[in-house]
Amino acid sequence: MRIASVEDDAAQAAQIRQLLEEAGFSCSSFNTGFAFQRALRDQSFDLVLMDWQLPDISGYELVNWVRQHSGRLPPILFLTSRIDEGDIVAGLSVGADDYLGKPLRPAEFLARVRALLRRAYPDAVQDDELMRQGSYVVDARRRTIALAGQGVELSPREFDLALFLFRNIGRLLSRDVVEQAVWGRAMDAGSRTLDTHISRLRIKLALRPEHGVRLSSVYSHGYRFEAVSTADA
Amino acid sequence: MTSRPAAGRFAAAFFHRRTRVEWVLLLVAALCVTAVVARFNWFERADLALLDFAVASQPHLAMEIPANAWQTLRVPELAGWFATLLPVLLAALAAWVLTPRDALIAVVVLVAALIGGSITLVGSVHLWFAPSAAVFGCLLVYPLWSWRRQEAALRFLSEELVRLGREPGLLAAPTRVDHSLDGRMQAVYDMTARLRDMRRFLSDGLESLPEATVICNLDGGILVANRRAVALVPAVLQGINDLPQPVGLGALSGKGGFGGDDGFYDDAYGGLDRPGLPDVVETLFPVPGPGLAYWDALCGALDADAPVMSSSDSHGVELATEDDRRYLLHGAPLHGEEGRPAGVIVSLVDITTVRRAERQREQTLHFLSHDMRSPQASILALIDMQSRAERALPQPELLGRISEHAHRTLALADDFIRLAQAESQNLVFADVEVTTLVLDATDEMWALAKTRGIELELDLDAEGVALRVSPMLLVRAVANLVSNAIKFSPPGAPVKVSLYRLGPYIAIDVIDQGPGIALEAQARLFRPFSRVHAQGNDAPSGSGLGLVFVKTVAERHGGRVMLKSDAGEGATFSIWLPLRSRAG
Repeated sequence: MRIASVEDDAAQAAQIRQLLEEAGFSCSSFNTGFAFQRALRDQSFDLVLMDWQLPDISGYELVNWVRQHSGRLPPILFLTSRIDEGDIVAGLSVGADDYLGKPLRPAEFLARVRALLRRAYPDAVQDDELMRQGSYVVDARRRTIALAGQGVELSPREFDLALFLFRNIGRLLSRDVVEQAVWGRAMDAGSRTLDTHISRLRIKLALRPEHGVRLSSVYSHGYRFEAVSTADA
Repeated sequence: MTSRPAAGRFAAAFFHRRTRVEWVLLLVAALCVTAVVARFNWFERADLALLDFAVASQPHLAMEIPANAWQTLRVPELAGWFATLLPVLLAALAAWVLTPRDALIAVVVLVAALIGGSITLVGSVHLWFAPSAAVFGCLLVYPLWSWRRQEAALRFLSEELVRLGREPGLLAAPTRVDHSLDGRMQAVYDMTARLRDMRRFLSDGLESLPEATVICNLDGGILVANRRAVALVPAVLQGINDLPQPVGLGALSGKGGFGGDDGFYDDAYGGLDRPGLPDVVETLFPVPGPGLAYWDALCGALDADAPVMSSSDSHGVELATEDDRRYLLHGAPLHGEEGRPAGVIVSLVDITTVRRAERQREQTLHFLSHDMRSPQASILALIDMQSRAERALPQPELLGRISEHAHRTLALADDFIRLAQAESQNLVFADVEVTTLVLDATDEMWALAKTRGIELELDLDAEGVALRVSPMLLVRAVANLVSNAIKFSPPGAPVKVSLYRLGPYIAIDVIDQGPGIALEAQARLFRPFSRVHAQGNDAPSGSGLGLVFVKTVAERHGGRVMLKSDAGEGATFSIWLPLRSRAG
């Protein structure tokens, strides 16, 4: 897998390259947006990591440019040191697939990269009749979920939602995608049906880090359901 | 400024004196004409006709007295003159003092009295008084004086119109005055219309001043208050503008030239029946002392008849309301037509945002000059130590300590930025379930709790309640409270987070069993950069901004932060969010 990293800070670029190479990916670093744009003319990448604040071009423009030139792929993960919700919403709405805050936490970083790659390039149809994640066992055929061996009662809709989350673990899921997958249609902007189901699920299934998973809201965009190593503290 | 009013007063006095002189001249002329008429007996035929009538109407007289004997029965000469001239004087006085209508009635009564009196005299005491000269005099005075009076009135109107036309600030209008009565009435009508417009313009101007403004008399009694002022202290000023305006208000726009020189503002009200500026200051500000002192100083300067104060002389005084809004109390004298202070215009300028911006700038400087620099200085010190082999730390320890300082800097910067975001004018609100918010916050703190062996107990009882909030800020605020609770809890003691409805609020409680916070320290807790706990090696580090952030976020959502704690009793921090911000 060839990954492009656009990062103007030399030390951080080196860190990203080292982490990715240790994980078995090949990584090319670019220190300006223009250098990356030139390279994209005759090379192709499987994933793009970019800093949201580059010296020559804004992250917003670069994401936009990539999406216009190469369509839905490659997936884009942007890194931002700002903790401003506005940046995140802007990045996701213009076509980036996920974001990460700086400074990087290596384990989280690699998990995100892998999740994005898995989503963009599924190896094969997964045989996910029986999924194990943290303390949960999800049986798609019998439509049951067990937490630490105990079955949890869910309504059919709640089960569909839970199944969709477990199948897409690690991915940033926009509200539209979840609604489309579970309800078969996107809902009105003002509708809180999804939120209500999500919080009910969080309580019923105790979706908490102590059980190896974490569900977090990316406000005004969607949700992310991800695995947490219980040793990761 | 002072010459114009004096000229006005002079003009008014001149008019007054001129009419008096004209009246005296008229009186003298009327008396002379009457005297001449009487002396030469010009109206003898009228007198004789009257006498004939008197005699004919009383038949016994004709028998008693022969017709030619009347010449000898005349009243004595002196009494005759007196009776002739006195009615003329009375008629002139009536014309001078009474309104034209009453004067006309008075003249008619005089004439009737003269004729009637003359007839009665003949009948009763057999004396003859010839009344026609006196009647002529009385009838002469009335039209003459009416003519002079109308001339004077018209002249006065014309000259006042010209004077008003020269008044600065009035919008120019055609000053061509037609000298007919109609023309002048039209001109007066135009002028009063312009004055009405002007008054309306000025009162609208006061009403739409961007600051709460009142106009007081020199005793502090409030005469006029604009809308913002009434909104600021409705308890005191409600209905103030509906109270009858005292005559003293006239003194603000220009006082008449005659009449008493003083006492134009102290007779209509004693200062008690009307809310005063001190009432406003005392109602609005918990510590009104400086405001009252400023007001006294302002009044003192006015009473001393000091020369016109320029606004730069008085910088006003800053006062804080109970909810920590800052106002600048600022006054300037208003001058009457004679240039003497006749009232005070007082504004309450809201400078809350200015003061907040100043405070933020101070915080930023403090932050950059101390909190942000000190970890960097520590890193440099570590590197410096490392360059001397004998004092060098083993590499893992060195890296660990550098990493600690760097993390601290980052955490500080993040806290600072978040606080700035929470204080920023434009927050982005979204409809979010409160349960989700609390879960997001506790999930985030789970790793920290785990490293300290602390269990997070959740008690969430607000299913389906969604509020219109800024989600990232609120999650961070709850996370700050949970993080504090974890940091201050002894290992193994659980931290409880509960979410429940509380009257018109949604309450989020974070309860720990830590050392608690002494009552006297609690006030300092929510001030920037203050740390209540002694700094020691084992004391948790923090920026001192975390709780300020929590308080700011709660307040920006219309809510509040509550703290229940005492030394040794653990602490319960609560965020109360109003349910009225509920979504949908």
